[in-house]
Amino acid sequence: MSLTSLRLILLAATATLAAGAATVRWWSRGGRLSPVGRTAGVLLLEVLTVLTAALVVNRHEQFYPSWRALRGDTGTVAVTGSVRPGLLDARLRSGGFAWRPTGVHDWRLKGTPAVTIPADYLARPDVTFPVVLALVAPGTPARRTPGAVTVTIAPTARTTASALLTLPAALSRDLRVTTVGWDVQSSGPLGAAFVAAAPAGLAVLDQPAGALPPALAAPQTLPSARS
Amino acid sequence: MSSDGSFVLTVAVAAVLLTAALLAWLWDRLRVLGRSLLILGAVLSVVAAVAVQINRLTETFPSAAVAAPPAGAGGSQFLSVTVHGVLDLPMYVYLPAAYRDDDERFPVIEAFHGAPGTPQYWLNRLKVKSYLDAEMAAGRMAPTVVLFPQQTPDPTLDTECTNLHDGPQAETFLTVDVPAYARAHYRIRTDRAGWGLTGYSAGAFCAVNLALRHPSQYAAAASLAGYASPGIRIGDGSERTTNQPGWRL
Repeated sequence: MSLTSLRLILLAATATLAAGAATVRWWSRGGRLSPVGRTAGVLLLEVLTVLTAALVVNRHEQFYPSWRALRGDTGTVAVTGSVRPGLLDARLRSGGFAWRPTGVHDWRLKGTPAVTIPADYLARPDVTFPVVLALVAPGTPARRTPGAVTVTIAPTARTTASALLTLPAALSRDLRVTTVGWDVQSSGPLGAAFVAAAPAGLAVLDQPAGALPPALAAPQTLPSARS
Repeated sequence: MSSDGSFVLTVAVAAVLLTAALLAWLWDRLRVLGRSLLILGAVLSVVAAVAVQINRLTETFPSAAVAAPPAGAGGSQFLSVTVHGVLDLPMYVYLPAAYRDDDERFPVIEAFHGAPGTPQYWLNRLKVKSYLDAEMAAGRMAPTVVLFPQQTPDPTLDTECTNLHDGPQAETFLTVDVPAYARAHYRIRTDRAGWGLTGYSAGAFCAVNLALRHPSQYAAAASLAGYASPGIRIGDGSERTTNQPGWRL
């Protein structure tokens, strides 16, 4: 029987009337209905009255069109698409750019991070690229590494390794980069601290040239995201 | 007292049980007047319990002025402000976490509540702050300033966000005063492409209707469980024409 059907409303109304009639009928006939029985009768009558009214209102307003909806199951299917890396791809020109991701202020850097991209970055849209993270003194020009996305930052005394841990996720969102085998180039203790604090495998300190992972892995995307 | 009104509901249910018991026990000792008062008390207690529960579900009369949730260091902020204009009404303002860091201007969404209801429903029942935080952190939603204005000076008066003939000018408040307040107080975009509307139930009607009535001001509207006809009398007959998206489309 449907939740909004007239039959259900009539059934509830009939039950209400029956409960009311029974309570009145045996209320004081020789005192046979004890106070407990009377209380139960009154409460049953009240509950059925509210229930009937609620069914009528629900039928009119269609708040819960079915028993399934009443259980909280509206048949809605939540689909969460994976975030496609490379949000900045459409805006990139070859060469490099000043990178201002959300949260850059937390890193307490001197100046804005500089990012250079490999020459074939734009020509290979299905490829993720390895990363070189260079920690340099302020004023040093942006570094460039063939075949790798290179991020040049100038840390200050207030820059901490733990604050920099948000950098890999921010870069992974904005550009197609690998999430393992980053080469961290640093002459100070901060680079070593960052490598030590980063998840295992993410970063290696001062790798020899050529040890970077290849730019091969294809990013995982839903079919609908390939357009 | 609990902020969700469960204490009041408990008291109301207790009153229902008590009046039923009194009716049963005292019936034989009372005359007509006493019996009538007992029956009246029982009926009133049931009506009160139902009203309390409906109010809990819709937050028409919130049990307490809900304090905005505390902002974590560096996280998003939820502010409670009052907008003065053709109406003087409270409004919640959501500022994304990125609002602290970036110097740029942010896009804006006006989010409308249902009728009966208040903006508290977004906060308490729909948990809008945690959803906005999660979607923005995951990169699925651009950092956005979200405004939650109240749409009526009287919780029992359903304006459907229109300018009622001889009544509150809700449309002017929501499309002139609220945007002016936001422009004056927050770092937001002022171009059409940076403004959108959304809402649930009556608020969904508001979003669609106001977007169609002010196309130079709002670029988009999203309807959550909405409808295409205001279902009220505006006073000038426009509920059948210019305040009815169904007619317009």
